[in-house]
Amino acid sequence: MSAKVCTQCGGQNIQQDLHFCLEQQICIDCGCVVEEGSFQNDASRIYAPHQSITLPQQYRQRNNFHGYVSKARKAGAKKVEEISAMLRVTSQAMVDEAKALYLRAYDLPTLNRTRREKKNVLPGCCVYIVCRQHDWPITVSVLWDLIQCRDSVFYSVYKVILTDLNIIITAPDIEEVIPSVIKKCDFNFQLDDEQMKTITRIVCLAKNTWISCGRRYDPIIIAVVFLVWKASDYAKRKKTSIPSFYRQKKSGPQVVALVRSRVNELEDILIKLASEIPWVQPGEVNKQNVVCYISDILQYEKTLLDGKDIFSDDSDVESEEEEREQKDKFLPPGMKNRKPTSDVRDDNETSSDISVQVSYSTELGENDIPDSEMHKYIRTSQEVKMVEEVMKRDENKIETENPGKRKDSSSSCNPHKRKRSDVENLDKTESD
Amino acid sequence: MDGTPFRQDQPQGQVQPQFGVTYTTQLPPSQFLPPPPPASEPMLQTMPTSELQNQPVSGTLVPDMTTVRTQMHYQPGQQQQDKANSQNKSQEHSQPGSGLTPGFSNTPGGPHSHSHSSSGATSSLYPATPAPMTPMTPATPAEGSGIVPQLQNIVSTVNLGCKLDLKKIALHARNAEYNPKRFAAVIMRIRDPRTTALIFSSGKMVCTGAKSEDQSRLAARKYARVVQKLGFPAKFLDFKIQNMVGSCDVKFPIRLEGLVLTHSQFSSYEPELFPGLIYRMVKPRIVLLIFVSGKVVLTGAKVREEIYEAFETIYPILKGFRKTS
Repeated sequence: MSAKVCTQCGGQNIQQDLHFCLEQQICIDCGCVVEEGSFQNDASRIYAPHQSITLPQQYRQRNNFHGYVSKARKAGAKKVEEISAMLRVTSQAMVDEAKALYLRAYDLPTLNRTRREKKNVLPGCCVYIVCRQHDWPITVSVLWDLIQCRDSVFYSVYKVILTDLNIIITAPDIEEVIPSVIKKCDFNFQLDDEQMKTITRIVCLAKNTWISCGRRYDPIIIAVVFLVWKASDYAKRKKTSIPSFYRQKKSGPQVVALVRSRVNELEDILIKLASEIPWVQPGEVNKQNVVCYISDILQYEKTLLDGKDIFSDDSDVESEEEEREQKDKFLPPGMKNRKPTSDVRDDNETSSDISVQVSYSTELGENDIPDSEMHKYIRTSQEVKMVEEVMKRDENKIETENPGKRKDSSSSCNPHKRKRSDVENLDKTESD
Repeated sequence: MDGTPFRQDQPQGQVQPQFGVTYTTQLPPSQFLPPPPPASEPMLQTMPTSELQNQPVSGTLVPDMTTVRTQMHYQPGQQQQDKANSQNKSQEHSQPGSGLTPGFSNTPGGPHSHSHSSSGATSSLYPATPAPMTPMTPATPAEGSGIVPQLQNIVSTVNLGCKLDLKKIALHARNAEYNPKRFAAVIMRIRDPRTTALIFSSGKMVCTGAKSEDQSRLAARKYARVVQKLGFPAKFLDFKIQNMVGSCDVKFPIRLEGLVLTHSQFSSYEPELFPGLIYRMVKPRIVLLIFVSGKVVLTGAKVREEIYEAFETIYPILKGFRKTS
């Protein structure tokens, strides 16, 4: 603040004061208003671009209005309560925790100045995080259905909250979420305890054979329920299709396709295991009747997974290689069709190994790019004239169609969007 | 514990919302209620308690200054590694708060020489950012994983040192796009090296898509020369590599659930949101995307040695999660 002199008493004891939201320079000695409404930047009140605040907000901050909560935050806190009620979170402590997390996340720079879609997702995200912190077996898909959001938007907000607020969340195990997924799917039949145990065991089998790793839980659980349901009354249900079994209008055809894919993978695994049962004839088991062997497979699951002969002695010693081969016979689906590479070195020889001669000086010269290549990237004067004519024609066309419309001075300099293929085609035509 | 998601003592007839239903729709309570969540302890971590106490909240480990990476003299072509390096490395791994990922010791080999001073004749299996005009042939390490991550993308920036008229550049250059309504920069592409550049009116430029440091520099020089040819007094100032991305394949499946349990402070695994595990290594400061198929993507490096070092650090950990639990 530059030294000022009071015009009335000549004193230099001038201080800054707020009259409501208006800044005034006041002489302490005589009380005269020396200056008001200054537009000079004060270093103590320079905000970063993302922290720009309104005058009412400034006033509240300076007068220590800590308890003030804006309308948007109140609406968000209310939404947190509603989502908690829908998830039947009866613990008030958890609801308060979710609200506090919401208010903290709301102030994050990346979330504060963002589009409405992300802000609408924020309360659901906070409730999910608090539920997971208390080890609730809840899946993200439950929140997607509740708050009707896209998974990409949810993921972006979720990632920001975890990284910026340093929160560690572990995903639930697939076995924990089986009941909530079944409830969410709302099947038109009841499952008894025995069937639930079978479903849990097959889900564990899917986990051990790499089917569930890195994948969404819902399609796998629905696929297992389908197989168990089919096995419970095979004669009547052997021809039931997956879309008729699982009808969820909101999920769409993508989920049905995923369920079908998981059913195929599970059937392949079950066929592989059932084929190793000694009393099963080769070729007896196929995709249609494999569900009938589920009880046998689960009874001898450990032995079948290990690949050992059921009637062999434990004293048989296997080499390390054989043991590894047995354990690796079930691979993640993404690894099954992989082409074997003979030499590690073959993978290393890529374009990054090509030697390149490059200059390190700050001055540019003709050595940086040869003339033979340069002319590919620079238009001739004739081409420039043609482009200018096209641009003028487009502008005149826009003016005649919309005479009142403001002339767009920032129009693209390209008649059409250029792609890499266009650059390559140019080279071909010039070489011809 | 703190509340159950589904309460069986809800009186019949009281309407309760169900999943997949909006706020206004009310449905009767379901007969089938899952059991309440276990009132057991939260998910246990297998990290030793002493290390847990020493370490702050996730991903914010303060690097131990005794293990600061000293300047190493690399000479391309050297293949043998000093055995003392591996012994020193195993000692450093056992120190808590060393900045490396915890829970692992006795790393078999690896191109690290943290304890050596800058004057020592340290050897490395991986060539450093090479001197100008040298061929790039990374040597396969004699010990360690035997796998070399390949660089897939390099992002670099350079200052051309003058203000630019983007409309003029877009008009006179064949390989340029400029749509200021969408983005305030010219997007230019060249064939060799196959890269893309963003050229801003301030004279700053970003070059992406190169597979090596030299290719990135060469591409940036080509773009700058094109701009100079269009009539601007462009120079080549403050070239800097901002990010390097590498990838490799360990060729065995990885148990991501086990990895996230033992390294929860560094890992994030949400299979419903993303199929891979995101591992934020503290030293070197690299982010790894680890997939169940064994593919690993490493990003966030400023020099290629960081990528190699990060992979050599993570490889023994991944081998530990190869078998079924």
